[in-house]
Amino acid sequence: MLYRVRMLAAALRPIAVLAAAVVLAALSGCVQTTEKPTPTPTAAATPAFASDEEALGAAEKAYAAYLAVDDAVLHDGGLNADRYEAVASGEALKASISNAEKFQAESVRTTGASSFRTEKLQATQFLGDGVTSVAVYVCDDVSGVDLLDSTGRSLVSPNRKPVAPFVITMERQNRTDRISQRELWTTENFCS
Amino acid sequence: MGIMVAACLIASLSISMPAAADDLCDRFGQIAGGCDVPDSSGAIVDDSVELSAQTGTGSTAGDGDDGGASAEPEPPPLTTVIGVDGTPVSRRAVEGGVGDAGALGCTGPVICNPLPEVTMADIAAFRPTRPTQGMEPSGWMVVGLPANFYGSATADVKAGTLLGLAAQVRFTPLRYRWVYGDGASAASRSGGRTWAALGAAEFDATPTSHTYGTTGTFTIRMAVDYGAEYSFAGQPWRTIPGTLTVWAPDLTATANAAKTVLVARSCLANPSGPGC
Repeated sequence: MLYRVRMLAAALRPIAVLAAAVVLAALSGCVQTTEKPTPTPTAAATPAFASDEEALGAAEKAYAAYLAVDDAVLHDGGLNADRYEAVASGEALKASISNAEKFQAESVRTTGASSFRTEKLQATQFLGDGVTSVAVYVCDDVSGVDLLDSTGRSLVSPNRKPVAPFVITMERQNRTDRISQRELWTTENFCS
Repeated sequence: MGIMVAACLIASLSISMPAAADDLCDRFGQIAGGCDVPDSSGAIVDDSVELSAQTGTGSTAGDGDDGGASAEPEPPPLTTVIGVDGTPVSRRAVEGGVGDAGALGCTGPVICNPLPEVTMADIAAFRPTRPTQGMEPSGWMVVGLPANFYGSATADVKAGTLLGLAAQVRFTPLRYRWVYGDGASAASRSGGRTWAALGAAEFDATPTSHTYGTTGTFTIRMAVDYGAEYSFAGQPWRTIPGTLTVWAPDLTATANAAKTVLVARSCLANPSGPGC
């Protein structure tokens, strides 16, 4: 008997619910949506360098590569300066290319190899857009490098100070490290 | 973005640029011996950052070094600045540490860089506790009658490493979403509650109930969209743009048809009627 009452109530309920739903929808706006939820994509992100040491190491490597290319281009009297593109960017690339042009214009070339030693990490900086820069103090040594004119005569000044302090900046982007800036540090000579 | 620490840039940029290197010192000048290589010596002794303490904004005013050739050049003061999070400022700069504008302040020779924007991708290693979902009746429903669905997710604080620094990420459930498996879906700010908790009767409609129109077995999926904030070393919470969606374990339930007959009178009035 009681069962029958329940059945009746159950049978009528959908109508009541439907009516209530219509009222609710009218009052409160739609709760339902057909928009399909999409999972937010995730990606692993790691800092560019795990430590100062790693940043310094990367900059050293990049600068060694830069100097190797620089020596090669200057041995050739500044020819094929596009070789710099693999190891330099920005200001450093511009300066390197214009230096190579100067070598061509003056018909000079170098012999020997440049070397350097790293003094200290100056700063690392996140520049945005996935670019991280690392600035390092280095002591450039050109004592093994000679500058020759087209007749093979050395143009090196007797007063040359072969070891000079520089600040070089390397930029890491898309896992590629290039030297982006290279400037003489004029404040003090931390190399001597 | 909103995380830029603009006020802090004043002292920063003077450090990395030496007084503009003179034109002669390209590679040609360097090799030929034309560079004006400074005489003074002095090793860089500190542990991290080189700072030529130029406070204020004056452009190049005081860099030429005091009084001509007083053969005693003053090396720039070298200072290791440790941020409030215990990280040297130089590393903080690259790794997006905080504190540049915080307790440390930006007075004095502190490198302050804009903090990088932390994105949802950066916090991929942090996960909120997985939400759960439930339904009433458990595992089945009646076609044409509301089944009640509810999800449970809590605000969660997870500790870990963010951009190389110890950090906390706080997750707050913002939205619950259901995909009912019959083509319908719904979203709600609240996760819903059981009929009992709502003081409702069985098969009552609730803000998170759903009524199936056909019989069948359905997989019900529920996700929670979390908002996230991060904090380094007790620094204020900063909001990360976007939301993170985490799915609860699926439910499977069967919708059955309940056949009912409409009768003219109750069993009390008509004890011999159908079903009585």
